[in-house]
Amino acid sequence: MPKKISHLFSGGRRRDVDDSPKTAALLIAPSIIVVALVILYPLLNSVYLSFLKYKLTEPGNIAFALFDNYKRMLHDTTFFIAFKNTVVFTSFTVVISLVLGLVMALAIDQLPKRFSGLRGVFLVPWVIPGIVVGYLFMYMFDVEVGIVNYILKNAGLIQSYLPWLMRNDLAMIAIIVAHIWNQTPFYMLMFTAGLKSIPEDVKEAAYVEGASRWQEFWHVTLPYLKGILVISSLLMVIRNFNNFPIIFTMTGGGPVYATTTSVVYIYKLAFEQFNIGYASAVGIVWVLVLLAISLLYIKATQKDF
Amino acid sequence: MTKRNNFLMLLLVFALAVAVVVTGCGKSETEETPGTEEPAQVENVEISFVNWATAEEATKPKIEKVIAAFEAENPGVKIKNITIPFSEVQNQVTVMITGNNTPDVAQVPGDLGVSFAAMGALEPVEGILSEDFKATVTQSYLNVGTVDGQKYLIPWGGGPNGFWYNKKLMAEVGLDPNSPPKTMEELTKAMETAHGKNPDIIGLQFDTTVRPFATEFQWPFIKSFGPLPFEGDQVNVNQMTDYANWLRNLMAKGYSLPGKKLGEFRPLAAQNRVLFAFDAPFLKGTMQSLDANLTDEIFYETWGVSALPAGKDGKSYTTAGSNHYTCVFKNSKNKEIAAKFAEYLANSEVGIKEYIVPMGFLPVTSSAVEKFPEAFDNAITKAFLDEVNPTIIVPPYSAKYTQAAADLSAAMQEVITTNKPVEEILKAAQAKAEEAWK
Repeated sequence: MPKKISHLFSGGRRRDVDDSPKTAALLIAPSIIVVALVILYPLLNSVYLSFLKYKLTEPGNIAFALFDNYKRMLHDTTFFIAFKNTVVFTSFTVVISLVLGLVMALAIDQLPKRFSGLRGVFLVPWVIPGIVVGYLFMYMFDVEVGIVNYILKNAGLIQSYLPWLMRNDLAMIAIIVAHIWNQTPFYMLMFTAGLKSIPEDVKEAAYVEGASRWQEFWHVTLPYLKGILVISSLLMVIRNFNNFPIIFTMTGGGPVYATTTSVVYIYKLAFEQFNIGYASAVGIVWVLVLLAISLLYIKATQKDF
Repeated sequence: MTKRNNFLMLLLVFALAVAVVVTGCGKSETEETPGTEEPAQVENVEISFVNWATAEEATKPKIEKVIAAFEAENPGVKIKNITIPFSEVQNQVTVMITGNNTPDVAQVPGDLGVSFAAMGALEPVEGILSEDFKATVTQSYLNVGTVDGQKYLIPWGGGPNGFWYNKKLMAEVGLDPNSPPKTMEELTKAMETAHGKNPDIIGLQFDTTVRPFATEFQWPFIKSFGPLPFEGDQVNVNQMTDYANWLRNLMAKGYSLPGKKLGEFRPLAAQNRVLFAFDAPFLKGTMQSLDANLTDEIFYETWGVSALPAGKDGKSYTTAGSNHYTCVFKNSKNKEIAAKFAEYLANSEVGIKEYIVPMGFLPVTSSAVEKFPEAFDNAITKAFLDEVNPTIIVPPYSAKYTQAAADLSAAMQEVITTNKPVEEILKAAQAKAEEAWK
């Protein structure tokens, strides 16, 4: 017998709502079906494609290849370069954005209330689409007309203009800088929200006990922000592992493979080499990596920090 | 509300959700082109046309005029313009092909058109082109789109790369403006002289991006220094040492800009900063669209065109890499009308006057030259027709070419962006190319 609850009122009339598991399942069914169609089907189809020898330009030569595509990955140096690039890019972007975001949030938190509008200004980079950020920084780092070279040269830091996007050791720095600019406001927003939730009396108690500003931050503020720090970082790790538009716009994964991350590599395999089978196999491996990180994220959200 | 009513309501929500999904995934009936195979019975036909011509400021107004004229001359036919930038055409159209949602007509470069044909997405042109057009089209252009003996591409604008020299800049740096370099050695020497006098001058427009187009651009230069990377069943990438060293020197000395697309040099050329360019005839129209003061008179005073300086064998080479083609897709329900539109773009009076001539393309039909002799009577076009056209060589376009060419362009980028020994880079590239060329 389903339990009836009576907590909704309409026009003064009491209405009963069926909250049985069956009704819940029926209510959620449309969403599940839509998700299944737009996410699960492509995913399962990709698993299937990953077991095929399948190039778009050889439609008469499609064959079941079992684990050939996965075996090929083990000997594919570009795959491992892309993996390394993804880890380097994600690590630097997340860590630097996190620290800067925290510093900005703390600084803005100290400002008088009339400056609170600054938060909105600092959020602008976060709302700009990736493709626009990519073009913006592509021109800023341009060897000919880029403002970065102009500033560095006038400051006497470089002798001649540097080809930022065409030197292996500089291209990665350029795309990391672009992403930090884009993502720091996200951390700032999260930490600002976290700072607002810290009770003032706890801070005051610390100061009364003789704590310095640094000790208060380390022993009071930071523990309160720990949950936000972990969850937002994991979220950004997932996002950056999948990041495509800024990298592709700025460097296209180059020079050579210097900024080719895994998603860029999958794109190249599928749309430049038309190798759907192998691209799917690399994609599936990537899904597994992201799945593992997502599990960490889910676990973190359930933890009481 | 009763339990039964609850269930019915949920069912309704579910049905609506499914309907929304199915409608979203499927192709709307209103998008269908209710076509007929007979152009004479045309009524409310829509031809979807994927192109990058309307994505570029230089060509957009011109091509829109041609489309409008075609619609006016063919009542009942509407051209649905689908704008996709050049660098996006490959992936966007590939997605359309895999999604079975192809347009009727698309503008394509030659190598990509061949890849689409290999995918089985295109209609052979033999059965859909008019006899008049077939009789007048330049066969060498038509032959580029051959896959398994069938022709799939319809030539639109001729665009072999010619060697452009900036006479004013040459004079400024002490070079003879009427004597462009005739050999690769002279070319290197001229760039050295210019760079010594004015380091801001870009010696040579040179595409070193990672894409098949870059390999096609470099193809004549590679040939000038030795064997081609792919010839028949042979892969000769490891024999490209001389070329790779020349390329590394070109960038290391600052004679060109590394990693730039061909098109990115055009605004610099319009700013009078490029000494030598290796580009298609439409460079003229592009530069003029970027600088309203660049009249024909000033342009011809500034720029000259010749064949590419000769290589080791004393011969000049070029590719028709910037030829523009159209193709008709197999799924089109109006193939004849689509082909008629493609012919109109290439060979109609409006198409030639409004697009081909002002942009500086070479005509793809002999009748165009006969009909508009004055339009092609200028020093630049003459140089292209008489000096450049005879030096055209065609890369071995095929299904495997796209991958091999992309890999090779990556290796050439490695040559100019790292200090790795050239031989080491070429050895690795050879192994990769052999895999792709199998």
